Amino acid sequence: MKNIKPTLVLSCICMAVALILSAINMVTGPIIEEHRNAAANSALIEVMPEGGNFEEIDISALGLPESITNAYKESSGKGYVFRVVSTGYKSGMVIMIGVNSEGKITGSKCLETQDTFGKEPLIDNSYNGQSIADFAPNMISGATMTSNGYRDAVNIALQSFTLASGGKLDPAIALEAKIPELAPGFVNPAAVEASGSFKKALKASNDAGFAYIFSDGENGFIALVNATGVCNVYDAEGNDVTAAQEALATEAKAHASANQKSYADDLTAKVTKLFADASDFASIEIPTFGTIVSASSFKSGDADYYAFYTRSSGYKQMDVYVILDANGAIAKLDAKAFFFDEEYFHVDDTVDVSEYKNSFAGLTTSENGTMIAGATMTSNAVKQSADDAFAAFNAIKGGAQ
Amino acid sequence: MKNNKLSILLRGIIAENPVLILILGTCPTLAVTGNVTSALSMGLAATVVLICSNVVISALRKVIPDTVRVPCYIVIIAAFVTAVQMLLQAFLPSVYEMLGVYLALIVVNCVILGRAEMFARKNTVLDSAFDGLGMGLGFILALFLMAFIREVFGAGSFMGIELGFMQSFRIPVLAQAPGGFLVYGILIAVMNKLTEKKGGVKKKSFSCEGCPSASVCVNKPCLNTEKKEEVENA
Repeated sequence: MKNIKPTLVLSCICMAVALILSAINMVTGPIIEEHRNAAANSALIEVMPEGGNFEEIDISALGLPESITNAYKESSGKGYVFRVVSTGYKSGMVIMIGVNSEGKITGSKCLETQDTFGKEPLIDNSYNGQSIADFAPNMISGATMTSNGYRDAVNIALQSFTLASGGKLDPAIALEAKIPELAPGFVNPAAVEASGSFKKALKASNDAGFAYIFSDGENGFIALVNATGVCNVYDAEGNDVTAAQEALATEAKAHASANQKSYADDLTAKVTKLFADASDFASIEIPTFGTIVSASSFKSGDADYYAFYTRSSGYKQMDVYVILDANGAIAKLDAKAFFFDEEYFHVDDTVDVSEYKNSFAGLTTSENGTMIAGATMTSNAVKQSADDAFAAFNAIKGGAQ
Repeated sequence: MKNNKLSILLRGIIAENPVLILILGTCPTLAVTGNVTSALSMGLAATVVLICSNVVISALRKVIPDTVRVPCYIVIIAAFVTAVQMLLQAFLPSVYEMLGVYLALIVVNCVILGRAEMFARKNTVLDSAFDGLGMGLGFILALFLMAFIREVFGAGSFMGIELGFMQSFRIPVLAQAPGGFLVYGILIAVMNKLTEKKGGVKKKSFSCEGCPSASVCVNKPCLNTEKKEEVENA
């Protein structure tokens, strides 16, 4: 019996305390809940002022782009808010973007960034009112990378809205995203005026070719035409459907040949400088989609040679000429300019350019190509040019045999 | 009698200041004294809990059996802390955010448990209330003093308002953790020096008698163990 009293007292105290606390909780609970919601919602309301309550939605099933980390749905169906992680100049930018039920941007705000100039506030909310149809990038001069990152984030949010609200993305968007994979040599393809049945035409900034996107909203194709006039057509899954879509290929080729800048004369002039007795020039078509803007075969002495004019991107836009012999080994390599002096840090210690050029002679792969320390970007661009030439040579030879 | 109450009240503020003399509640003292606002909020919250728990524990002092008194105190203190926490979160969310985890840690604040054990369980409700108030004021005062020194001289601001003229003279380390220990140590030393002259509590040695709480402590078991040890040693 002696032991019961302490137990009883302690139990009674505990129960009394529990009762009192639950009474207080009944009063404060709803207020605390309200505070919590308000704190969580404040970031969302900022980009969607007309919104009330938001609930987070499960994004795993929607197949949204990976850069969407969270998505919130306005409870009364006024739209969605997306949290996008995009890349800026050096760090991930976290941007909240609101899209209303009509698919228009209601607000955007960059929450986190390490970018130096802090130009994000200039872009915040500047996309308001735009939809996927009239999307126009807002570029801030002096903050190109930040602007690009922001533009991509808004674009992704608009696409995600289409997916989240049960719509289907126009295959054109996915097709355009495939260009770097299908035609790695097409540097920064930018839209040019499209005509005919193509929805969008893009031109590589290094003149390596054109990309044409065809879409009826359900099915889409992309036609790639390289600088030598060879056209491949791919479907949304990336399969080569050139044979089945001959009409598209013909139309694409016609547009490309009308707009392609010719580098043939330039290449002939350069080859003539390098090989005084060069003759029998014949331009060749190559079935690869690298950085080559012109290709031709020629004779020097008794031997056959292949000349490739490539425009790869290094420290600057590079114009590299790669001349291969009949066995596919480099006979000569030259460039309009190597920009070593500009990229090179050791200004008082200049690179022997002719030695550098000669070091490529005889190579059949760029693996052992000379790298200039302090000029990595230029060196890599030259190797890229050589690689594209080798690939083109192998494709021609492979096709011929 | 009134004089007696006044002395209970005043004792907590200086002669038995919980932070600077009794060296209780060191953790929150060091943690929240980075700025005056959080120190004052912490002091107030702790004082409210201290007064309430002292009153309740004193009222129940005849009911609570000795064997379970510590669990009972903890439950009562925890109840008041939780209540303060919920009320702050609901009505003063900014203060709640500022105090963070230290608010919940009031439960194990030695000042409160110490006063329950040392005073409330042996005195009347009214005396306990005055003791709670006095100790609370002493706690607030000590926190304010430390926070004032650390914020003004360390961060060059007062209650979050930047003091322009202090910017070139501030000592940043004071606002950081090591500065907390430094200021605390110096304050204790100053307090010791001051109370020494007035014949206050002075540590004579590190034995049980030397303890600043010796006068209120149940020192019989203490002395008994010492005597036992003496006998054993002999």
